[in-house]
Amino acid sequence: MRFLWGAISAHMLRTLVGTVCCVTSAQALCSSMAFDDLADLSLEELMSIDISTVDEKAHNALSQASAGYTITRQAIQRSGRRSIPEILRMAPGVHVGRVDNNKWAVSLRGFNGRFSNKYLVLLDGRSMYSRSLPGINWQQIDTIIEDIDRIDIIRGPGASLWGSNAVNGVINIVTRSARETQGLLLALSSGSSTDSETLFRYGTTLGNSTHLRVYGKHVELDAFEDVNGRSAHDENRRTLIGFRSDRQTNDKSSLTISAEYSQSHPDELFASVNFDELALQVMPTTNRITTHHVLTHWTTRLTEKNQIGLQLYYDREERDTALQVLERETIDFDFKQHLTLGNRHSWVWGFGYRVSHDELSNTNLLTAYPNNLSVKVAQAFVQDEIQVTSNISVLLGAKIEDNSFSNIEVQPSLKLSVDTGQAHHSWASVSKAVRTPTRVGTQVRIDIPSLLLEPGTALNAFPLPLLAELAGNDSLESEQLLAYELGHKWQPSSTFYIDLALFYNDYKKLNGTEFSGLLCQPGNTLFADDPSCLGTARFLETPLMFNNSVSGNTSGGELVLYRQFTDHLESEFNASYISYDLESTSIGFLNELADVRNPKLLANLKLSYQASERWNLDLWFRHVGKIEGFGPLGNGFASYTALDLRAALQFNKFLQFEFAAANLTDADHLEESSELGEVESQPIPRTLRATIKILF
Amino acid sequence: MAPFSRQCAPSLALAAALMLVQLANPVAAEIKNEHKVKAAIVYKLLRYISWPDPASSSDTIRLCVDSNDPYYTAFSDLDGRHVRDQKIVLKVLPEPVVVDACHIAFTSAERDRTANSLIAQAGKGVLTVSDSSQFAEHGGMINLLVENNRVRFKINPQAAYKSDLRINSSLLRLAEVVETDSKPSKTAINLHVDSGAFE
Repeated sequence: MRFLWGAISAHMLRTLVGTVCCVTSAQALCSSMAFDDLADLSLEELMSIDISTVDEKAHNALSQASAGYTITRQAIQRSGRRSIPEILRMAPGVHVGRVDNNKWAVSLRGFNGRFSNKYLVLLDGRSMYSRSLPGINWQQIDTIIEDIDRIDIIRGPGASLWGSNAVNGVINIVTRSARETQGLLLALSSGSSTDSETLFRYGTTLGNSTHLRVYGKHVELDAFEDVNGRSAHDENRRTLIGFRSDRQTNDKSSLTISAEYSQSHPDELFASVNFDELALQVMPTTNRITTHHVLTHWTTRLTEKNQIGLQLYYDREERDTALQVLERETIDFDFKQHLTLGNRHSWVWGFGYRVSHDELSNTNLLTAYPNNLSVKVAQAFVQDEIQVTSNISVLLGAKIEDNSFSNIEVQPSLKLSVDTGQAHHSWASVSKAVRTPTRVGTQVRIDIPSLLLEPGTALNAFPLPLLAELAGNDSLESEQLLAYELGHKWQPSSTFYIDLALFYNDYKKLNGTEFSGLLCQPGNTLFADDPSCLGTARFLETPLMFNNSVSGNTSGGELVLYRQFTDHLESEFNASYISYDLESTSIGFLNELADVRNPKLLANLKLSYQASERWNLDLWFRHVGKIEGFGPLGNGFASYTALDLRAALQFNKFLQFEFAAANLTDADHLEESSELGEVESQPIPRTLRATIKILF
Repeated sequence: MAPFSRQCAPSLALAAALMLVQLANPVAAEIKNEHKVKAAIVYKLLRYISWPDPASSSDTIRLCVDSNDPYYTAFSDLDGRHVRDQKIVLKVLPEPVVVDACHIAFTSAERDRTANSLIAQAGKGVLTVSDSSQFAEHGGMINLLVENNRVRFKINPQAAYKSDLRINSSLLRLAEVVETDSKPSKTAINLHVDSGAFE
């Protein structure tokens, strides 16, 4: 699954946005790819144009009428950052907050938190979304940064193509083919007290048409200092090793085989409940996460107008952490076909099946029932892109999915795309998407350490400590979104463009919780039945039962402005705004608090200057608006504006030096918290880092 | 919610109307992007090729493509364009293949037989180009390929030199260099390194 309209290089995008849809999408969508525009490009640029096959076409067509943004390889290199969440900070509509050294909260179009769950992440076609745990686990999303070809981000629903949980967006990380990563790359990176990284990659040719790369890296992150200057015990050691081979046969078929193993030790200061003393206990904890996967992907062009793609992967993760002790295995199969019928219809259809088996063990905070579960998802989709006139196209698509948690889900989408001439392109869409329930929400109980309330306080009038726990509800239904989007792209010249997207998201049945009784513990006696149980109980417990009580809307938009001032100086500004209007019909915890848990405003300003043949300089201002917080139950965070700098020296063909500084202007700000309060938010320090890269 | 439903209603109606309209409003066949990009690449790489006299002093470059070739339309965009001060003139590649009158002869993978006769026929001063599989290894000079949806090319410099054609080394840097009926040479591997990790 390699998608998105930005499948061309950054420079291409800039020189060609006037005809960008023509270059990147199927011929059906755009009037024509003018030869004059192509003739103005260099050979290198022509060789980087994506001429699109199966996967891409489906995706390009969709993204023509979607809010898409591509973080190019060049932008990744020039960010100076060495982890994927940090790189994502530059994209509009994406909020990235670091909870501590090894935990991230990332979201698109709102609803952020460590366990944010309303978007998908794909890494070379593998879904990183887990139904065993809520959502995306950023601790496991990593690769060789130098080998990432691009990160395509679609804001807004992508469910008609990618299926459920692609509610507020899709992040698609695509690495380069083995052919494009030939030679030996060694990189050493060391930062001021915070991190060091060692990586290698070796790419070679096996026979005429097969290329291979093997790679590995080791990252050590030292613990942050907490607000009192003590160790936050959030160090991380991470090692990964893998290979990828790409075989091209008779120019029509390609076969990719890849595999990877990784192990990490993201330690933390873990908060849980000490039931002997009925107090919050915070202990340094050693964690271990191992993953491995094997993937194969095959595409072939049967004829010019008929292309098929097959993908199969196996994925295994073992998490031995304070919060979750989990083993999970996944097997996923996907088939896709692209057919062009006549001059106007471009069909893509496909089907797939995924089975995931997990064993979720009980921990101090978490109880699963049952402990073992198989989740099966069968899906099929069809999409027709209709070229109505030379400059208007309509895209109709729907995905139908049968999953173990919510049975049949149908997620349709209707998109309209219009080239309004003079380098103007407008689009509008209406799409439905759902987020299906996961283990958390239906089959898990989790104590909330931050909700252990002392007796006789404002929040707990009882004479005993009161502990709240999240309780799964097996009749929980899917969260539903109906999204209305409008967008406009304008590029009057090759050195300037504006891209504006607006959205109105209408949510129904969002997860909320409801206080469902008060239990005297031990004894499990319902207080309402027998108030005298207070006399013998040690503490009170209140289950917060998951429900679908929250509904309402979010609205907002994202703006991207690009300007190239000279051949050597370019800049990009982007800003995102979101407002929330949510309400809940039940009284619980975290019910309608998305507006106080999230910043409303995000902005980035990047300047890239090529000072000489050998020197590159980059400046990056990042602004994140205030997070209100919700009083005693959750901290707010002040807004911050951080400045990152990078200078790179290409010493010769083989040697590159890079100096990067992050958070220069705003050291030690807090960014995000975990919903459960099981880990403390830690101040994010200023870092200085030097990297040396050697290529033979 | 309400104001947006109203705003969206017209676009839905419009979309529905348009879908009806399109049934009665056929659009002219488009040339495949792949064809256009390949044609543009051929156009671009001409400036890296030097022909022996007298071709080099001629004021035209004759580009021959079979008129039944699916790429003919894409190559017609090159007709009349200039490379340095030489004008490109598109000619129909005769059947059976006679390449004497051509400076460049192109044939697509769809016409494999033509590709073979191109290799066999090519005399002095004719640049042979095809996207046929293994064209360069079989003795063709420039072999366009699609990999990962991007067009790239192999060059067989040996074949070109035999025809007295000169290929600028900066073009070779962008290509995979192959020899006739052999595996990719060591040079090819080194050349890949140039376009490797650094940008």
